[in-house]
Amino acid sequence: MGLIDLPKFVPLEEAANRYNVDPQVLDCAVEDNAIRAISVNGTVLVDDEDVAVITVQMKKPKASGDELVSISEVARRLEIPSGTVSRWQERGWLPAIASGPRRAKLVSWTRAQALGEIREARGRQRLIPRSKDFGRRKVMS
Amino acid sequence: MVNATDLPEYLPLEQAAEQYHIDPELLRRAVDAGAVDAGKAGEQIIVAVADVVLVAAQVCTAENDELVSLNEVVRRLGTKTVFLWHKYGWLPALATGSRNAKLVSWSRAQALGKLHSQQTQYGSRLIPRDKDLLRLGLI
Repeated sequence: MGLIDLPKFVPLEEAANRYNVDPQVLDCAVEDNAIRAISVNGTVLVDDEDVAVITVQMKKPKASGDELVSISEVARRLEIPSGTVSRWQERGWLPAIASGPRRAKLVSWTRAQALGEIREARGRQRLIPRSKDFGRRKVMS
Repeated sequence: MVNATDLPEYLPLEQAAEQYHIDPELLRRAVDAGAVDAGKAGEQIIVAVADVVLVAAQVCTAENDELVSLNEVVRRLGTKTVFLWHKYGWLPALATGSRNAKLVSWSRAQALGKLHSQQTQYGSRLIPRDKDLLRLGLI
């Protein structure tokens, strides 16, 4: 890892504010090693990307004001293959909330956007690492 | 509640360089080479103290340093691993004493000795290959 692609760390409280999540939830995730944390001069800092990955899975699929869109529409808007979006749906990261015309699965556009951002940041790596996948392990139960 | 003392300790690069008497440029190059784990906090580069300690042991020098023979280091530190440190280049001979004895820096030997005493895993390399500045061509 070079100087250019260093992981970004932010104070835990700041991360909680930014991602609109209870700091205690982040605390639990740190204790469960789902989020990488370090100490700098006595302050707890957390890996920004880890927090993004964890919080995207905690967002309520249909928060008020959210838009329901089909998988192919997500793929079109994010400019990614629809197979990728289907895989997100199959793995439970982007659950189908309703059915549209011709049985199209409708998903949350807010969550799809958040997953799209993580995809951009992570490149070709698995979008949500197995160790941080709530579907595979129960972290916040 | 997460306790800061239980977490891996990091420091801003400049602060670590000053605290451990390391050239900041060398530390930056060590980060770039992956020998020192690092991250970014705001605009600052932060470095893992555990790795900085390893770098410090490899470049440690002191004013009015004492030159001692390898045998004397073995006697003072009570470990024959010292010869391996010399072989790996971590404890280079700086001069030759009586009867061709290789003389090394006592402060550097002490720094390596401290690492050795803190080592928890018996038989593991004192300075892992991926953190060995000499192997990486950084020193």
